[in-house]
Amino acid sequence: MTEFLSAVATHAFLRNALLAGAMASVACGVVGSLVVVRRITYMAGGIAHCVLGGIGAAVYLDRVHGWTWLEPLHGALAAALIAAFVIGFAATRARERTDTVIGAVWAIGMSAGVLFLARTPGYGVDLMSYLFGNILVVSARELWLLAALDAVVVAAAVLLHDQLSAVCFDEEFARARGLRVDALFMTLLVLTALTTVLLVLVAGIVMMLALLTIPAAIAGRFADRLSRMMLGGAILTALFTFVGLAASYSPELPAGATIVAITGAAYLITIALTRPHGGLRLPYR
Amino acid sequence: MTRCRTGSAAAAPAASLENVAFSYGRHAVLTDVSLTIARGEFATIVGPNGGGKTTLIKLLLGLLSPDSGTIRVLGTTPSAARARVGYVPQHAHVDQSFPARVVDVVLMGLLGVRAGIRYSKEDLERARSALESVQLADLSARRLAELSGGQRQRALIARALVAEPELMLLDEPTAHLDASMEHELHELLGRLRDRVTIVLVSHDLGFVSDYAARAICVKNTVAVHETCELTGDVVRELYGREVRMVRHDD
Repeated sequence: MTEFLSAVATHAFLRNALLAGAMASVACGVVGSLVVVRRITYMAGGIAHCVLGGIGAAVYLDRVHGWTWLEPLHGALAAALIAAFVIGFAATRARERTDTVIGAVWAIGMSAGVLFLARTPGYGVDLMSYLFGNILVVSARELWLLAALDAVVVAAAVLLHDQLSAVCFDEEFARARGLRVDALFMTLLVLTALTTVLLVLVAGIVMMLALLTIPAAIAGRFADRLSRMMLGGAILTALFTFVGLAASYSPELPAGATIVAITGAAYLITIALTRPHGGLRLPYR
Repeated sequence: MTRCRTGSAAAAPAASLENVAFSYGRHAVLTDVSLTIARGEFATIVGPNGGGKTTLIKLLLGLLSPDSGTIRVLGTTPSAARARVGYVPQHAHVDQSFPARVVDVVLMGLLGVRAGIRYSKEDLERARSALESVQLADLSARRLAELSGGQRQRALIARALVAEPELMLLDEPTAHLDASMEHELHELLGRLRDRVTIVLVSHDLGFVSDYAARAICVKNTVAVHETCELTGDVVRELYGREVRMVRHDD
């Protein structure tokens, strides 16, 4: 740990990584809680995997067609938003089975990404870093974009907290109260898309789902209201990210996988030791 | 079987339906429904499962639109009347593991009515008085998950009451409750009938005949009976079999 802390003092890339982790944590706690209580983890997974298509397209256009202004993160953002709208449309309007549409978006996005990257010279390594996370190579420009995404997500969640909460709790009642349920649900999916992009940087496409849902789920076992679940989820995500980065540093383990492994272990311990709605699981009870 | 009067023709009844038809795709659920519910009435809707009881409630809430016919609620369209209508679903319908205190759930009933983005002090006061009228004020800071089924159902009634509705629609509020909780809930509804027009879906014919003057029988269409006429013949026609008229008989 001391070695890690002194390394943080000397290396800018570690400070960037910690900053990226902290910023992702805020959005993660807020949106992760909504995803967990509304039970749309599968939708978040579909959006996350579709992100690879956008990253692949951006890298391809940059390398092969000289669109140097285009960053992978821009492509990721565009793909996540498109996926959110397609899934949202399927869930609220179309008569298609929603889970089928999510599965299709999931796989089509992945395949587009793989095809673009295959046509881009020398990008085999990057495919791995997008799939499994590359928090140690976050650039200063990416940090600014992350900060902007964070601001949008938190502002929207604070302003719409009561409405989103009511829609997640009882959609039919919210509709009967005259709330614009479909628009709010679409907003939730857009917030999920933005958060997904933040988390893909930290934990990668394949593992981000663990960070989105597990800290919120742990917090949800203790929280007596949604806002506290969000706060607890954010604090836990930041903690797991920090511990994961520190633990992975000296043995040179992959940072993303270490963070997710610690998160998963914390979840299992919580389930083993606590009851579903808070309180310790005591042997003599 | 005599067909009874369909309510008094007050200036603006709590609800009225004229020749309403509704179908899910090609499956006709309700045909030619005409019905008036007067203000101050305690109306109960009975009928077999799949007969269209819930559909009727959803039409009154404006969650569904009729294929033909007109529906008026409190003198206007169902969607325009929403702010003045309280809706109570079955407690089993809501997610009890949702992280919310009882008071948070009740406050949700003010959405679409109040202004501003945060709940105000008056809002909290209204939530408290709604909880008092369902005798849950002591539990207002409890998590939803810590409540019994009957208490959760009363919390959902408080959520509907908090916006001071002129009309309350309840969809089988006593379903999934044991007999003593069911009895408690019936007494609560009996007290509320003086404050607000109540339309209640119920499977409990004993309760219906005790509390309501009329039963609205829904089986693809609607027939209104004085509850004193709820005899074996009527019930047999409605449910297609003998139903024992015993309280808390499921």
